[in-house]
Amino acid sequence: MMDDDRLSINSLPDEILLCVFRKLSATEFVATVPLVCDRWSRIISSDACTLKRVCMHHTNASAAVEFFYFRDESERSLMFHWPSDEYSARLLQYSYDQYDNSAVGGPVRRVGYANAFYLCARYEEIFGHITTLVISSSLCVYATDGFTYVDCLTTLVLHSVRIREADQYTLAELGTVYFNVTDVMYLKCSLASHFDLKFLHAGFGQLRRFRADHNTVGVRFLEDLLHAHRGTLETVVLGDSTVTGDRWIDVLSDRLRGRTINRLSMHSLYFTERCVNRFLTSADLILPDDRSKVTINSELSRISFSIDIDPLR
Amino acid sequence: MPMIKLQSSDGEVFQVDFEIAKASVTIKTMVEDLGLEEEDEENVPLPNVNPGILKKVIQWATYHKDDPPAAEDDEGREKRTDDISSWDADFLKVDQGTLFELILAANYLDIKGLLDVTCKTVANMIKGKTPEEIRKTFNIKNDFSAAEEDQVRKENEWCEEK
Repeated sequence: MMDDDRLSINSLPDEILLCVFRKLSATEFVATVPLVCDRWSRIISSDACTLKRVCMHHTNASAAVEFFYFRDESERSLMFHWPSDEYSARLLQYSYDQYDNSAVGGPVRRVGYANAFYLCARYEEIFGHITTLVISSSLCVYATDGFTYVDCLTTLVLHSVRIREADQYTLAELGTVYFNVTDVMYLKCSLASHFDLKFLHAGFGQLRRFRADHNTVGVRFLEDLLHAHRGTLETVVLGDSTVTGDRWIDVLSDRLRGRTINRLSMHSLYFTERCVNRFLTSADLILPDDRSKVTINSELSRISFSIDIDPLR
Repeated sequence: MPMIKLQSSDGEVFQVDFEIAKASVTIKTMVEDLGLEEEDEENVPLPNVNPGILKKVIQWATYHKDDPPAAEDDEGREKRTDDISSWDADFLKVDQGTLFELILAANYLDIKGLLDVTCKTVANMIKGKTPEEIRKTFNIKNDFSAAEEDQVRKENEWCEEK
């Protein structure tokens, strides 16, 4: 300080710069500041509790794992420096936006993420508080091994997850860990083409709302989903699904026999009028009186699908 | 009123009301540790603070001497940067070098309120700017290689403004 030279911002020690950065918005904290210079980037990624995610992200190239999760406000405020949940909310918003862009409107309730924060894997002692978990990693399947205390978890978002066929047995175990999950979303995930999600979904005992946006979810998956979760499932939204045309209508006729459909929207170039008419006049299904709630038409080259049904209690 | 003598880096001595100087946890501790009595002739040496800055610090502490002590866990208040009083804002209309020296002094002297308001002022200079604008504002050299910058950008893509 005795120097005659004018001090620059980088004369300030790390901990003071961190104090300054923490007064910025969460977005600026993680998206702008690290781009300024190497030192600022390093300071942000070394922040012990708020920035685990960025820290881990930095090693992502060598296969690190990222987690974001959410727990109650009183706990969060000890760890997280911004009063709002802007940071994590933005991650989810980003995911939702990606999803919404796929032209499938859906009734899926947007989860309240008022209590957001994130941390990296294996902090088992606090898993019990988590209500929403966003996994954004190409290696999530293995990294979630440690999740055994997620009883409060109700919303699971898999984002950018790459799931291979060989992962199926791991997923079977994983599913049981997520037994209380009611909302599941797959966003920008990549699934091996013959992947059977039954393994994972067999564990979801309370699944009420399912949403997926990747094009490897086909009619066979829908068939399994409607069957496996017939006692709980209320909403299914699939975007950009593999085209098999009338087979989708057959599956609905078969799987939803005697069930009440509250709303249905299906778009595909490959539905035939005959099949659609047969479906709409079928006595086996209870369709809403307001037929505007049922739309089946040929607007899109891939199938987009969304349905609300009464669970088979 | 009991006065104490603060000696800045160049030896200049400032007489300050002890009640005001106590805003600095460092000075308060030093007085206790040195066993200084009221009206003692001994100076409190502050070799890390130059006279210009010490004068500013005293000015700030004098104005804020009757402030209620800040609540410990007042996270919301600390986080906000739009609550700088007009007196503080005027007080901090200084060149960047002085601002950073004030920050270092507030940090060294452990004056929470001053550190907070100066950090807020710097944060406000960063807010709403692009990385390039920030570099320009603070004359920071972009020391990333193109590849590194790309990498950092990519890693944070998910939270960027659209």
